[in-house]
Amino acid sequence: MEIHELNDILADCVRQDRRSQEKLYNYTYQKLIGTAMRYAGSREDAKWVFNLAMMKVYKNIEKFKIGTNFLGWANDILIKTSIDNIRKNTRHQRIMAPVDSSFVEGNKVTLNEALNSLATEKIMEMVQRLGEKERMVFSLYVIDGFKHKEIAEMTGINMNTCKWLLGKAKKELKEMIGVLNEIRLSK
Amino acid sequence: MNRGDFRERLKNYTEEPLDSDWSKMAQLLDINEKKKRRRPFFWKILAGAMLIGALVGGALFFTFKSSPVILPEAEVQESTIIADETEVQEETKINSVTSNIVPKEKITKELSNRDAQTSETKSKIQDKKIKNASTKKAQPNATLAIEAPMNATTIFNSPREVKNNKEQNPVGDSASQMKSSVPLVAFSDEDDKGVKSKNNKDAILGLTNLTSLPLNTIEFQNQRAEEELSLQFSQKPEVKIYKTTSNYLALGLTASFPNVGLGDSREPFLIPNQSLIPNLGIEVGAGRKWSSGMSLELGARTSYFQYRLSNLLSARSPAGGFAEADLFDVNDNREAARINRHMIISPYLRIAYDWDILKSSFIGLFAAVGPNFVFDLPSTNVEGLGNLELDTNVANPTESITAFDITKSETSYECEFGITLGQKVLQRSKVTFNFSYGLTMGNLLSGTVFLEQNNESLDSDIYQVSANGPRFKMRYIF
Repeated sequence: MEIHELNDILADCVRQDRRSQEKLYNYTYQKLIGTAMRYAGSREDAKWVFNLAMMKVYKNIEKFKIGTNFLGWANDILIKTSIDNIRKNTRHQRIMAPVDSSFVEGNKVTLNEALNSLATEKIMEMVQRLGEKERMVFSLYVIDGFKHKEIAEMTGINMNTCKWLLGKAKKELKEMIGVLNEIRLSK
Repeated sequence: MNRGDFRERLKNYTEEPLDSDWSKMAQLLDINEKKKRRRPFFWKILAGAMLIGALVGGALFFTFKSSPVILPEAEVQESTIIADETEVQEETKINSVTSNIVPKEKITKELSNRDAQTSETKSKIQDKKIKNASTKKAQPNATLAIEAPMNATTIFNSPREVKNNKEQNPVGDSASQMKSSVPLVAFSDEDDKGVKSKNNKDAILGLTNLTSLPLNTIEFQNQRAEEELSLQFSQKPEVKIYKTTSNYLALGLTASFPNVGLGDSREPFLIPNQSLIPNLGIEVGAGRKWSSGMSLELGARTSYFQYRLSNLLSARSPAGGFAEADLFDVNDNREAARINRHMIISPYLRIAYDWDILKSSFIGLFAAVGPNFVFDLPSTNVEGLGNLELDTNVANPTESITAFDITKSETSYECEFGITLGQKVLQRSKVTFNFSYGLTMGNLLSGTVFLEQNNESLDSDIYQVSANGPRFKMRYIF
């Protein structure tokens, strides 16, 4: 979609034109559903969260400055909505990091290489299998590039706990990759 | 096999939406627009009500600011002296304060010694004028009577003479200046009108049995009349305050507690956690109070209430999957967490009856009727949707059930009964405390909560908020 075409659609969305809203939905869905899937536990959850985020987009579209990066703006809304959703799901789960979290570091290269060798859909599937908070911290830190301090502020989780959750997520991913390799070898 | 940086691949992951995805989104947009549509109407109503309230309140305040204490009027309404051809005159004096007619014996006695008293009375009147100076200041109407020049009295034998005199002395005629206190026109018996006037007056006032007395000078009679008035006021400078009908303006703070109930009593999956919702407001009224203690008031109350549905209700599984579970907001612990906010505008007609107790306190009963118009205020949930979920983690972590609700406001009608405890403050103001109970026909709000599992509807249940409940008000009346 060309930029001028997107800008026209956005202008029409401000006037709440339903056809333009549909076009914007389809365009945004295509580009950002991956983000929703990384944070959600399933495809259905991802779609639900994406729709919630799109409601916020439509409601606040007047505040968006047309001509700037729409996908970046919508992506921020989607991430925040996903975090809200995860916080809700884990409301009663108090997660405390163990005192010794030294295993967080290490095996970085091995895991990245292993993930790079996998198909995107497979990686997405494995990420979705992670626990809610592990998945959230992994996506925020590894894929979206936030710092631990920023993640702590965004999610309300203690910074050390964030580091521990990240290490746990990597460990689980490694285990999954190991199981996957074993299955491959057995075939 | 290296397929490239997995981060980039995840970031650039794309997928085409299905038609069903957009249809779900469109449904959400429709629900949101429905909620939005009601808001402009509410703001118009609110702005209109505030404007009308301010105008009516202001007008009433300035209109009724000074009124109800009425002092007795010290005014001579009428005095007629009529002379017949035998120079016999009857005098009638009507004093509106005392409502007494001067007894004929008194007049007879006074007039029989007229020659001896004429000079004496003149000086006496002058003395009274000086002596009663302070009293006259407090009695403006009496002052008017005594300050009129005594020597300006004229005798007229017919209406024609009166007319001629007026033409000759159009301005500055002291007799006409005194017309509000003591009319100084006398008609002779030769004049038909004079006779008729006399007869009519006698018939009206019941003076037919009065003795007719001769009088040489009408002037003297007028002076006597004025003297009598002055004496009455100077001897009894009494001011009485009467209880009268009065208008008032009332401002009040109100607290009420609408009641939460369930619509489906057969197999509800909802359980109320909280039976009352605090509701705070203000009311403005204008009324009229009669001396009997009864008052009638017309006014309007505006009140506000808010609640979290997740605090209001719990749920139990319709399929027996869990015993009991909390409903909670999707965005719990966030600024965006959902809070339902509503405003009620209630015009009312109130009738009350008060009894004085002690020196400045009173007690009363009241009843009020009127409709409740409920309006939705902007909620804090950014989605504008039903966004509740069931917390089934404790009972059964594998069971995932979603709940959402549709809440709509309704118009209801209510009666309110209560008691008033009041205290008079300052000069004319009162502070009252009202304790009452409201009974309503209809609900303030009605909501439906739906349960879904894997996008399939499991059950639905209704909750209602009615205005039934206790109320407390503090009112200032001025």
